[in-house]
Amino acid sequence: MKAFWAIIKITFKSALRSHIFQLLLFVLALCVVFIPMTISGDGTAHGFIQISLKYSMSAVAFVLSLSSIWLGCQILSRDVENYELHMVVSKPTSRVSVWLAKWVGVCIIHLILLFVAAAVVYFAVIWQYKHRDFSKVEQERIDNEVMVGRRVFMPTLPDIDKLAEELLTKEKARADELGLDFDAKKAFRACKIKVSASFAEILPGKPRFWKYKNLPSDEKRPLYISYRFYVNKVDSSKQRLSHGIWGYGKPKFIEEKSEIEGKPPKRVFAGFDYFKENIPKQFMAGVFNELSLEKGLISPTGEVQIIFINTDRKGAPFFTQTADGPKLLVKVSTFGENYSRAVAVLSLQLIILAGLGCAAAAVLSMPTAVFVVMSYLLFGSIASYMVDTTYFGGAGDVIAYWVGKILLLAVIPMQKFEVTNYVANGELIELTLMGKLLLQYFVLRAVPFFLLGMWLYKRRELGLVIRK
Amino acid sequence: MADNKVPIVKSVGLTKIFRDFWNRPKARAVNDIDFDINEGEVLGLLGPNGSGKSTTVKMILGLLYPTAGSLTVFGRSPQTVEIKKNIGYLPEESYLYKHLTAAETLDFFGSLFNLSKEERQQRTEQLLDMVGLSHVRRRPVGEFSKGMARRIGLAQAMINDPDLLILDEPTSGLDPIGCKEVKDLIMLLKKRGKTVLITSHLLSDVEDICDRAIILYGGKIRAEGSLNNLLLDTEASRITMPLLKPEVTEKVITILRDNLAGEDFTIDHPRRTLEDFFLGVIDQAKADSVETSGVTSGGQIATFLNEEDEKSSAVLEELLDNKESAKPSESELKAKKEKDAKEAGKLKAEAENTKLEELTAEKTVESKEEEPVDEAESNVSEADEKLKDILG
Repeated sequence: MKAFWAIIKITFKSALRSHIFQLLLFVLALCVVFIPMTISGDGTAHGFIQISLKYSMSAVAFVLSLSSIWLGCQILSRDVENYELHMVVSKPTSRVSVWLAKWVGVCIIHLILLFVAAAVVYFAVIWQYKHRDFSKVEQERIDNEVMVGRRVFMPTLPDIDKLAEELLTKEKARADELGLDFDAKKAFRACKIKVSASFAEILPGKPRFWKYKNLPSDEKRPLYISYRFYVNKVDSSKQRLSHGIWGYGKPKFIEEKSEIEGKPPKRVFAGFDYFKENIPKQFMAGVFNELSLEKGLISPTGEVQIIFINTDRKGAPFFTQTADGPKLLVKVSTFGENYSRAVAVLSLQLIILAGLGCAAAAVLSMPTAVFVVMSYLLFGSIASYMVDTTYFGGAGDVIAYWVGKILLLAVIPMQKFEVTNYVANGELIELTLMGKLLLQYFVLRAVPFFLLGMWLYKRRELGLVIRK
Repeated sequence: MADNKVPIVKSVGLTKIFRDFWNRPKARAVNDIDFDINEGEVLGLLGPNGSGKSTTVKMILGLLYPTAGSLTVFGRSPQTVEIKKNIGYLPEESYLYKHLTAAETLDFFGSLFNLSKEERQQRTEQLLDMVGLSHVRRRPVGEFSKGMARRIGLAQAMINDPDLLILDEPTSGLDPIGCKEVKDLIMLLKKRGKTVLITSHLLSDVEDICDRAIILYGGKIRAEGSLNNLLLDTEASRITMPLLKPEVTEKVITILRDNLAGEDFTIDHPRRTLEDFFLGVIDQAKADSVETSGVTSGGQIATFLNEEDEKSSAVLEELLDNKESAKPSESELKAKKEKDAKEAGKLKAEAENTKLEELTAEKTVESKEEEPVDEAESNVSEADEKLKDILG
């Protein structure tokens, strides 16, 4: 262990002497200190805190991610290129432990920086929340919508295939009636697109209905809906203020007489009573909006039902995407706990990036290793979007989908580790998500790369490069 | 001398071919070489640039892998981590971490041997003192001159008190005092039964300290053997004696001319080596307490390197048994020097009246004191006999 720690120590010293690392440290310090102090926000108190959190954490994550890749590559390859590694491996230290010690060294230095930066951001945000002149209503909103950990429930999705089959049957009957040729495969695909589109679109004056399941039936605190609608088309530009009426299903109970005499009648859940608000609610299209719901909307079966009617004054349709919900949010943890989980996810991200850097530099020169890691991450990002495609317009889309699938067997889409949005929106970072990131991306994707890196490092011949 | 020794490094058919990106052979750096490095010997690996010396050393250290043949160090593969506990390595250039200070460097390399903190501190102090860098212990190694870098490199190679010391150009960049200290150190290690492999371009260094030499060229061994075997010219004779009077010299020349039948011969004054002269001047300056701002001469040999362990004692004993006359102790050497000086003085005084036969007899006594060298020795004796006959 003495040798292991000695290498970790020397990794620290080497890191602190790297000019690029020093520059990144300076940028990190700027991000941590100046972003929370200089953000002006969107004009609302909760927006200000949200943006403060989001920008600060994103900047910290970005700078540290770059730094961990850079340092991971540099620490290993420079030792080889400068022949300093000759001296280390000619001592009784295995190359595997040299690799591990260097990786651990890079990880420790970045984790320390992350913890310090995260603590500064946390206290800066808390300080602003307490010392800014926010009204009580604004503070309450921040408490409920930002500085909180809320579990997210997504609406249950309709069975698109089943609905497409139903539509297909109708279309076939019509075609038969008119004596037209009918390509069942092509028609089914068209039906599916039509059904999917119908769920994404809310026509003017028409209602949309969403059902949520598995909510805690004993939850007495208010629920929140987070939604994003686009006017006319799914495009963040040219969006504007619009209106809509929200309605809710309120659980209905009937009294059932008890069979035992003298016992009071039982309250039995008997479906929902629907009601809607009288005044349309204004919202900004293209961004997430929040709406608090009254208490007691969760049925004993853990179900909530919500209705929305498009009352846009210009008669434009609204569009929404599956990821946009509307999401139903239930408070389950504190802001501190949620923030700690975000820091844990960022830590995992840095550990993976440092490891990828070390693995690449185990066999490649410094610039090549950085290029390879960056390309790997870019492939991961692209592959993730390729796989998320739901619309297949032709063979190109299908090929892209399968290429993405294959790529994802090996690459890590780092955007899955993007959790700053969760924290800024007060959405709980679920332990299941953290477990999935750990198992799916660290254990099954990253660790094999680390092992490959160690093996190549062990096999690598030293002293082949002519020293300048 | 090394016949009954255990080979520490054994190479059979060792070959190293460097390949290009497409795996095509680019250069055959080492070409099917067989050699052993025996326990307790100092072996010189010589050869011009590109002859395969460094490649061989790197293969012994497990940095490069042989393309063909077998190579074992302490009976195991050079890649085995455990064997490196017994190896010290001084590379040809300073491959140390430049931002570490001299003391930190030794502490770091001590940690790689899992030495305790106290032991590391103790050895660091002793080694810095030994290589004369105590006064720059807090200066980063990157700021060192080449000579200082060699010294700190040598110190790190000794931190584990290795059984096999591999020194790549150990005296390169060192001043003559440093060279002498390194050579003294190597001789001390040899006395303790340690094995030393030296690669060097400074052939005089190798000549001074090596038992055996291997000369490489084009990746192949061109010559190998003990220095006496390799260097002794048995086809010529040399007699060294006190200064002769001109008429005696004339007499000798006449006798030689008459007996050598037209063959060339030379008679001149022996020259001291520049190194001996330089060291004498510096010793005198030191005795006169002249100050220097450069590297101070190394202090005493690190205590932990001088400690007699069981193994080295045994080896030393063996060495003393085998070559008592060849390797006298320091006190014996001193006594012998004094005796020689007295005898030389006496001889000088009597030189005018002493017959050449007597001088020849004296030379025979001197040659008896030299290390016995098998076949070469018999050749020398033959030559002496011949000279006796010539001189009548």
